Amino acid sequence: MGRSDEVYGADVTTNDFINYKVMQGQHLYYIDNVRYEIFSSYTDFSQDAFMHTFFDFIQCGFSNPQIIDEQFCVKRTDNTRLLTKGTSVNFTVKNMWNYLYLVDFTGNYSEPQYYNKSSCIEIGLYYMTAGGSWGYVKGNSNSRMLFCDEPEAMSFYVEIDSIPEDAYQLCFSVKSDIKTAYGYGSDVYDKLKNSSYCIERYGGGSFMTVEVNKGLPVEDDEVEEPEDDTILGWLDSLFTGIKNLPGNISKALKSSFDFLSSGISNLGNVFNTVGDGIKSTFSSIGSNITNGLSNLGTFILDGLIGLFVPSSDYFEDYVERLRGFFEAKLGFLYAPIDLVVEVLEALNDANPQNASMTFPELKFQGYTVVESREFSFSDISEEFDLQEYIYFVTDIILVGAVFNLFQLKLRELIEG
Amino acid sequence: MIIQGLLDLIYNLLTSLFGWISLPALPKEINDVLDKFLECILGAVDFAALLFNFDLLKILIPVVLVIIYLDKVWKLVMFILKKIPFIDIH
Repeated sequence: MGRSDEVYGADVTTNDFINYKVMQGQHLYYIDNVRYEIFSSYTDFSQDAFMHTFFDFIQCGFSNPQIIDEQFCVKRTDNTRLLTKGTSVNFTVKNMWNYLYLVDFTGNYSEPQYYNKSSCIEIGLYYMTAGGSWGYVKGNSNSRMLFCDEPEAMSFYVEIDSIPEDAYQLCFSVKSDIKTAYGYGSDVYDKLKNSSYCIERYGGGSFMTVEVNKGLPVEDDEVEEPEDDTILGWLDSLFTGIKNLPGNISKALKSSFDFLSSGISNLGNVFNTVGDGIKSTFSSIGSNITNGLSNLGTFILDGLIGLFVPSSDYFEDYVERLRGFFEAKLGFLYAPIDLVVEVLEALNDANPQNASMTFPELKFQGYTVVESREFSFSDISEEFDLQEYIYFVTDIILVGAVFNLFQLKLRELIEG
Repeated sequence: MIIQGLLDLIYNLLTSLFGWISLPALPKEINDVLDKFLECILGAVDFAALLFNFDLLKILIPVVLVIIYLDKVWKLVMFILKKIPFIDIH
């Protein structure tokens, strides 16, 4: 790793955003034609932000221009608080890279892991000291990684119980040879070779900490104070007891009333249950009678329909049987009938989407000079929305022609 | 069941009437020519569908047939009307 001015390669454009606001940060890029590394540090986090989004945009001007962008999100939920001071070393991060797809993994990890499905990935979570040494960090049992095929997304969730005191940076690294796909430029498919994200200890504070309380309120984290067993402590507890006496009496009264009201409410529930039982019995009898009558009506109606009208498949089968019989018996005499039937079917199934022309391939001494190509007319008409206008014009012409024929025929009839 | 039975009866009648006939099929060479011809027509139909709205054509074709044979339709209608005495058409 090095500093931001140590950029190898050609033109490199970078931008860092946190919640779409450009942030100052340290950037490090080791770039050659096939590899790059990213180092970014962020020191200013909003306490009340719902989500911090770290967005790196890198454009490398090599002979084959590559555009890579990535997102790194730390989400905040209702039971989450962000801390920037204190000595807590809990570290909970949800991270997501789009356009990756891999395998499923749950459990601890403390060093880079390799997973294989369609490709290889290496994920590392490590710390660095100010002196430049480093080591892997172990996630606890809540840590997990999830790689999804379908949405082409990867996420991992890390909780760290403890990290060394002299840790200066916490870093995630993801190394992979999986394709990332972005729709920019001509050479838009690039391989994510190596990326790492680091969060730096700043100004003597802790790492950015995201604590997630799994179903427990934040207040549960409060530390209980140890009891004082001296006389002053006993007097203090006595005065505290006297001070809290009215509150305790009101709490006791409230709990008594709560008990009584819950008893009454339970009695009401019993009556409700009995009433519901009676109601449901009568309603089930009524619904059975209604259903029975309805079923009888349906049965009679279906029987009458079935008596006169054959099933829809019958007519199709009947026509096919007749066609097969006459084709076999009448032989060449049936050919014109078959021709007419096929033309009528073609007229019925006519589809402008199928109107195409195939230009044959051109070969010279065994080498294909021009490959065969299919030209579809519907592509042009769809491209310029021509189809509707063509139909509009021809519809008017056809209807006009029919009216013209009608008035000619009518005149012919009237004039005798 | 009733309509189905009647149709089956007609089918059986036709098969018994034409059952004894067994004419040879068209020679393969002629069949190939017909197929080629049909292929051209079918391709042309798809091209025609680019220009003409076939949903409208399916409605207009029966209407045109009625108009073309309007004199015969007229005669038929008048023939029926003349048979009704209280209308008094001669």
